[in-house]
Amino acid sequence: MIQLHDYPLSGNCFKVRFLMDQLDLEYQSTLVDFYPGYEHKSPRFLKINPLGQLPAIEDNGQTIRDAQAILVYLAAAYDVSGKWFPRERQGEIYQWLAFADELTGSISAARLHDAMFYRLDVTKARARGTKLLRIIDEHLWFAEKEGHDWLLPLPHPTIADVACLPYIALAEEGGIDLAPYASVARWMERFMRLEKFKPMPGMMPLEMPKETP
Amino acid sequence: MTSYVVALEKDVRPNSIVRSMMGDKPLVIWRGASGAIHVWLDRCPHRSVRLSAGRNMGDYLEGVYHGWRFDESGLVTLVPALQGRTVEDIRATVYSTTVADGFVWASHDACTPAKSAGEPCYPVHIAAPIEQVRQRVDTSVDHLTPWGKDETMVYPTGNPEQRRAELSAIRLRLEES
Repeated sequence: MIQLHDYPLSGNCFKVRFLMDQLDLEYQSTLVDFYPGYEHKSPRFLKINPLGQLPAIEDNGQTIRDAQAILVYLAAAYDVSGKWFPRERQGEIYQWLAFADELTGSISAARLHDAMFYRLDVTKARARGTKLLRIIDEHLWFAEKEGHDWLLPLPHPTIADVACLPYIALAEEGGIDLAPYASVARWMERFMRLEKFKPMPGMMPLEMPKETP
Repeated sequence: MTSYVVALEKDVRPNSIVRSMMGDKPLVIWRGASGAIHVWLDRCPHRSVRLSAGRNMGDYLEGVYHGWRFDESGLVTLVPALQGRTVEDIRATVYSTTVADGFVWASHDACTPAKSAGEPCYPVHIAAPIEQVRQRVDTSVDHLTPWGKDETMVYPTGNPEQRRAELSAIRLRLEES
């Protein structure tokens, strides 16, 4: 069974849990006390991931670290439908996975500053986060105009959406106002209405009412 | 008094909630089961939490903390904690609103929309006060709404690709100066 080194308040761990639920994979979650225990920097955990970052998975004797890499690994190994990681659109997928990394470096950093008292330049992190939000909001507005609901012009979500969603949904915990981004709001709403979606703390307070027409 | 664009009409969908701003007022915008669009102050009269954190149940909007129900007129029809006792006359702050040319307009008094030059395009948020933005854009083509004290939302019309390019350039100049 897949072992997930997990932390409930981590958006990066959310991505992995979400995809494993979508693929009906059985997994065992091992909780790592990220804050205030800093267990991800402990000698025990550094043996699993020398970068001292969450999440990491162990599967079939392999250890894989990095949320985006794990999404690629799981989709390639276990998604028989090929929908989550469409092979003919790998360029776009990797583009959004890199974008998700930038979200971690900006919006997630601002959230660590506000919620877990990390010392970093929060003004710079929020400014970068705002730039990224404008880019994805604009992208989604024009995508909707062409009749598309997701980051890629396909009739279903992909790991690109999974990778980008959590830190955007959690932006207000980092002091970044989401009100100006109406297209992002609609995309998040669609995502949160997906079957088997389980919110993480800070994401959404109430279950969505029935599907919009 | 002045009326402002606060959303694109197509973005206000059933069972969904839109957030916006009109000057210093945060707004919650929702379409009820009747099909009508409602524009209210985004503050619950109970504990001031955002109404937009609640949910649009069609016939009513439900507050996130204590499940207060607001009917389409803004009247509170149910307070679960009262357990069936009568609810006092409590209301959300409701703004007058009109839909025109694909835009949702709102006002603190009577809502009188201006003419639009064409189809709504991608709204562009600029971190500069409305007076500065007004000097750079053609207000017969773009509707401007103050977004807080120091920011502006531009609701443009015309060719979407072209307008996006123009307004991105204007935004860059205004935000860097």
